[in-house]
Amino acid sequence: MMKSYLALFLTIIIFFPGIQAQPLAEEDYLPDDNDLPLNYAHYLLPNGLELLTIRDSSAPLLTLHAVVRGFETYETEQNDGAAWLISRLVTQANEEFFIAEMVRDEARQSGIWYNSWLNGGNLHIHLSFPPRFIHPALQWLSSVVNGPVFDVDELKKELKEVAADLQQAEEDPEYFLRKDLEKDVWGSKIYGKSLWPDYETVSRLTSEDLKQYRKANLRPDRTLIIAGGWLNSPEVKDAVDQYFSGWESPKDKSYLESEALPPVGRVLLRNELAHEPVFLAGWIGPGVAEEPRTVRQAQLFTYMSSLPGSPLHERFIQTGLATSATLEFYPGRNESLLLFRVKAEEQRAVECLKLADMEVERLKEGEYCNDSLMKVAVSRLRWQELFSREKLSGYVAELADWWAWSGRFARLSFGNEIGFLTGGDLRNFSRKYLDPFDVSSGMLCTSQVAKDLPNTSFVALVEPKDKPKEKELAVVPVEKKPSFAEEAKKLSNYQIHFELNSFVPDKDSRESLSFIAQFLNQFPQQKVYLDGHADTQGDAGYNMVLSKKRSEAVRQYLVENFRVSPDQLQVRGFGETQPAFVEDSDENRAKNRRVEVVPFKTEGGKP
Amino acid sequence: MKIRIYLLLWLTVMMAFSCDSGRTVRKKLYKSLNTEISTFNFEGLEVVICPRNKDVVSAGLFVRGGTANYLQKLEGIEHLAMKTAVEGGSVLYSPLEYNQSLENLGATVAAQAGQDYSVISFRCPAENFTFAWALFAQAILNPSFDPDLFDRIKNEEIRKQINKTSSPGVTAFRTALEDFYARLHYALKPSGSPESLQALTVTQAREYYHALLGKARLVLVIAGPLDQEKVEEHLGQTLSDLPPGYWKPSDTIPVPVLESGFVSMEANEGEEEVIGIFSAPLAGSREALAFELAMLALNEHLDPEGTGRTVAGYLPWREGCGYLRIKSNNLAGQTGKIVQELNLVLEEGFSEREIEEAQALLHTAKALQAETSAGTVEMLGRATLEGDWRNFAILWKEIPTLKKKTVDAEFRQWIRGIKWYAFASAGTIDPEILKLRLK
Repeated sequence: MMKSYLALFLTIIIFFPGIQAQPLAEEDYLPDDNDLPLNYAHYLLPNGLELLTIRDSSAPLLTLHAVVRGFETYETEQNDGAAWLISRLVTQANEEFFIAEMVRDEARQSGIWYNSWLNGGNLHIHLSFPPRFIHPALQWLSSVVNGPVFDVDELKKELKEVAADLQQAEEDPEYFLRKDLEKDVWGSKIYGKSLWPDYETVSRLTSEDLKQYRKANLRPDRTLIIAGGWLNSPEVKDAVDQYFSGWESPKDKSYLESEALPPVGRVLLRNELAHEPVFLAGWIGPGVAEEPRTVRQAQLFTYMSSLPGSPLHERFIQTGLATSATLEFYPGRNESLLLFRVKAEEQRAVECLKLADMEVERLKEGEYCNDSLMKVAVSRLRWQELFSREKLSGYVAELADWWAWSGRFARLSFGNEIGFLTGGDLRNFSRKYLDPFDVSSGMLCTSQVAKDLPNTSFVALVEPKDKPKEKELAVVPVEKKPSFAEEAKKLSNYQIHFELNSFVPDKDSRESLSFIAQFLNQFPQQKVYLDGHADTQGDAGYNMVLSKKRSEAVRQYLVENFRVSPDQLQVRGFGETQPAFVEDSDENRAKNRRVEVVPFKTEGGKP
Repeated sequence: MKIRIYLLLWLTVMMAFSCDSGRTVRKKLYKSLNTEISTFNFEGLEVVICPRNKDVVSAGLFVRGGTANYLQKLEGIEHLAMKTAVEGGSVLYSPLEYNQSLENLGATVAAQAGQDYSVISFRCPAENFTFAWALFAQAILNPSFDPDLFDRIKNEEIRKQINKTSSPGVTAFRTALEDFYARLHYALKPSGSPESLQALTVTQAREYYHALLGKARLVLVIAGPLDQEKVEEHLGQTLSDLPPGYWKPSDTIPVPVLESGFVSMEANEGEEEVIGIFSAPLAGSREALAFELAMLALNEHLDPEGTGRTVAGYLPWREGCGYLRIKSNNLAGQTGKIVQELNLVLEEGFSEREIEEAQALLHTAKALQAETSAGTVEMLGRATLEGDWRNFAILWKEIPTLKKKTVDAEFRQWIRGIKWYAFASAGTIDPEILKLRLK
């Protein structure tokens, strides 16, 4: 009897795994080989090279996609730009096919369409071809990764194209703004490298620099090859073994073992040419390697916030203030970029840019996390994933990037995982990452508009188009963030006042409360006293209790409405013992019914 | 004992599913491309189904005729009418409700007019097919043709056309095509011109749309995890009310090889170009595939580095054409060189290697398109309208069977009648240098 129950139980577990469904733990966001779909197979070769095969019968096509993780992140000031240039030259001449035409001809002979690029610090080499050419394609790929020669003539030719590309990019004023913004966001984490390649930096590099960089960093133990399409997994595995077994890694530590993982290098942003006013704000977000669950939250939150019906959409698009208002997410290994971007309507630029600046503070609020919007966003993201997976030759690039950032096939379970996220998760995410006091932001507008924007952190002024280009962009120096001492000094100007016999702050005190909250959020280590006072009307004992209640009410207000940490606030009541004014009028009595904010003497220190 | 049996059963099932046999997969694939595609007639509507094991359904409602359906004064009307119909909601749903409902179901719809046919395309996640399809069918059967929406779409289209004509190179190629196809419906632009679009009214569009949408003129192609029974069930609930319509296929007239000729045209500064256009075999034939291969091989031959300064291509219309576009700082010199190369290919034909390369590249290009259900629908629809949907299924087998002799023969036959257009200052190109050495 017992055995029958057990058998029934096992059957249910085996055939209805959904019954066991529980919210996912952090590690579940990094699936291992057991979680791979049945048409996927994962192999590890003796030289450290990983291979993922995906059987797909949609079309008689094979795709090979090689990704080298963190390829760009090992650049130093001396070889800055090397990874970027290699990504453009790697499919040119190599030791096996020693002129570029031969590489190209070999590829064409086998119907290979190929491309190479850098994304999020990773180097990608992509090939699509008819399935019968699997061997020539692997041989071609092996020659490309094993021995690019970086011929000087090709280098010069490529540099000319680089110059043309960069010149084109630089014609867009938004390019400079984004460059500045990214520098500000990534700033100290890039070890002095330039974030975006410029011609001068790249043109300093020699063939030898590139060869050395390639030798050290284009290595099997940091590489994954994905083979997808019409294939037989064991056959492909044997073929990969045959062509890549001679590819050796240098003896130094592999990427996964290295002690300090450099952050992702360059984040490529969409470069929509715009002479219209633009507002940009950027935050550092979670990294795929360390916080896979939070990355899902970031994806969902950013997607949700731009949907019709979201507060962002309602405030900017429905009102006709902006042509676009989006919160974008650019994932990376150790951290990501969260980018808030508003493109204003020219006629209402001032109004729109001001509102965008204010929106930076609102993004942290929970108003974005409403359940119905979340439901819509989850469905749409799941469907997008379906459509994206349909085109395997494109999907492998995403799969490869996520592997490179996390070491696992973290992209695969995306559709299911986002369904497990809750509104609470998203609120925690926005509170943690979209801090209005830890943001880099900027605006791009004409000088005419800039005149009416006194409170912005910095403004890039673009003069009318008919002036020479090199004089078009004049960046006003970034206004320094106010120091603690200056801000603390201002606190004494902001008091909270009350009606007679009341401990509810009056309406006029909202500005004070807002400033105090801003101060406390800006300096989260700083603690303050909330000193409550009463006027002399009524019993002294009663006034003592009332003043304490006033302090407590202010404390509660700051915690609940501005998410100030309660640890920063210490309440005290002084009753009528410390009047600020002689009570010879109702006005002065009202001034004495107050709560004052007194910072502890040193920043973050003891009282 | 029972546990063992269950486990054994489970293991057997899992092994059967995970067994990675490439040969079996390959066999199945050929089978799927050849035999699993099916076609049937639904109350006068031709339907083609391509079963796929992805959770996405794509469909295309192909409208026969293309630019042959209207006269020059109505240029662009088919595109505008269909776009308004599919984007503008229905008599039951406002445009906003309709578009939002589609979005909430993850469905997208679009309309695009072409030279030989127009297509209303639809895509949605398989799980939402029933609802999304019903909504879509309801809208195409009873479109609202809201005048305000029509004006908005019309203005958008006018803007697009103005932008298009201001892109360098576009105008020259269009002008050359218009001249080449003068007096044929291929001279008309399916998306219209700013002037023709401006003159169109919502009443005209509505009347045109209702006259167009009859079962006889339509072909429906669906790809997704569906079978005939399921498709029939959906069609019965949605498209039964389509009017029978009328369609008389035009006679298949063999495309003539034209006389070669030369036309000198005005060019904007910096846009000097020489364009050569010549007839091509009827699309959908084995000859047309050989011609496509020839043009691919020619492109590789003339521009091996892929600079894009010289382009050889093929417009795969029913009565399509081949073309050559030459741009250079030394236009006369470069054109002379290209003509010499053409003479060389005429004499010796393409090399075996060039043909093999073209075959492999064409296979990759077509397979990349067929990867998605939407791409498959597009290819299958085109093949059906060109005469036989099986041309899609046999494409992958057909390409490698086209040998050098066949490809060379097609090239030699059609290249004889190039009409050259020189967009340059008068006298820049001497017509003498354009003469081919024909046997």
